Amino acid sequence: MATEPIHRWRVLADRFYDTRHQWVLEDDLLLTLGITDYTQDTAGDILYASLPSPGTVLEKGQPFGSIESGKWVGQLYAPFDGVVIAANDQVSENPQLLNQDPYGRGWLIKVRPSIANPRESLLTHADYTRLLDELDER
Amino acid sequence: MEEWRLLDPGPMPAWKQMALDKVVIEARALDQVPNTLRFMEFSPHTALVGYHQAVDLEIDRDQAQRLDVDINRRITGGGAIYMDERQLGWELCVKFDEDKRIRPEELYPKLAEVVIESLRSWGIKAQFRPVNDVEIEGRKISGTGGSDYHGAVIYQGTLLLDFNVEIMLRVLKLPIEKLTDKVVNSFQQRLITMREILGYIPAMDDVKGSVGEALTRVFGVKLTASGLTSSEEQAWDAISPSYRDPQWIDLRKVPQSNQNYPAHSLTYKAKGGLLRILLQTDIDQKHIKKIFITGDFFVYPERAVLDLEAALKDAPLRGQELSEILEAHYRQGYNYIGVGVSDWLQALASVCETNQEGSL
Repeated sequence: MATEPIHRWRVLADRFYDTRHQWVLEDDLLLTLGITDYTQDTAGDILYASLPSPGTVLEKGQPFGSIESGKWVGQLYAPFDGVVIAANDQVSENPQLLNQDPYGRGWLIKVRPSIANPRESLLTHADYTRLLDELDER
Repeated sequence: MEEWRLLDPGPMPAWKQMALDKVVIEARALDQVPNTLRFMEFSPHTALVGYHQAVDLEIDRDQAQRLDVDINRRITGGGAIYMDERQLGWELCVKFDEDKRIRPEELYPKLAEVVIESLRSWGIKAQFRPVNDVEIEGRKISGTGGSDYHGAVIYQGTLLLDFNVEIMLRVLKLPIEKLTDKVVNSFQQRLITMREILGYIPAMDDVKGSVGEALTRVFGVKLTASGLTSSEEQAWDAISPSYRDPQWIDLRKVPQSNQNYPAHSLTYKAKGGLLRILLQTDIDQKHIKKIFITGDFFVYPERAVLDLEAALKDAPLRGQELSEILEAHYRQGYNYIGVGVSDWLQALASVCETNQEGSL
């Protein structure tokens, strides 16, 4: 039986996800955060992105930045506690990168987590794929 | 029947209004309050930028001070607006499925139905125009925007009972060369007010009543006039001062590399007449910010130009995308005489090409 996902959004197997439709990629000591294909697709053309400065303390579940499309301000939420080490200036200057390459050049921030195992509260790509399937937004 | 509450706190300064937005959306996100319809009246009159905008790019601070116009920042998206006592601000604060991201183009038409239904009760036939406007024969009577927070959303807008275009033009930075009667008239034609349609300015309380009744019909809910909860009152008192602080009002600064949004006055001679395009672009984000189209070409119906402006607002400055937008516009059946898609693309080409070279 085919087990192809029923949704149309790209999900990459090399990273973790959260229920806010953000991805997390491990990179040695730091974790890189971004938005998923689903987020950029639902948002439409993203005109603004507001990202935190390096040094900003992230609190799990709380907004750390925002994106705007179609006159709508959508929040970005911290998936775990941590400290922002770097923010992607290219995204702030050209938010369309989020639409064009959400998993690559459109990364948002690099974070040093302040908890031992941030992966525990995240979704695998299989879990996230199922979440998208359940949204049934075709 | 589900019960929503109605908040009508009366006229107040912008900083109190903006703080109350934050209080209500947080309370709704925490399920401490039901879905809410709130009216907003601004006193003194106010210029508001959208959440991500920089005041210095949108508002003439000197003029605002001269005219005693307050300046503040919304928590919602969209462009700068001018609010005086003859406009009704309204907002819906409702719970949303937290697992989903907001899809603005789907949510707006549903929520804007409240304003359309309200106007219908005055015998006014209005309709939704993407992305976020309610219009009457192409002229805007209500603009909207929104924001979400932990599964609650605020969707807010204006309703023009009457409007002072001249003060708006003085206070907001728009791509106009000189404030002449012709310019004022031109902007006047892009907006429409209840006064213009009805022949009188309706009483604010009557308009509020019609919006409330429209909401009950559109959503099939009961609306109960209410006050803030004590915890909302406390939170409001606590956070209000921060919304009159420059740290909030100037939260977004003008980027160093971009001292202003460049304005362009483009002209192009098409077979059917002269196209004149006043355009403001955003260099960093490579899109059209504001666009006003005039000229001596003929098109029927006249609203076609207003619809084209709406379609091109925020459009990327790339030929392919502009072409797609224009093709879609022409497919709607407007009768342009001697002006085709290629003419518009030619007229806009200098801005697109220069922009691609990164030296606009």
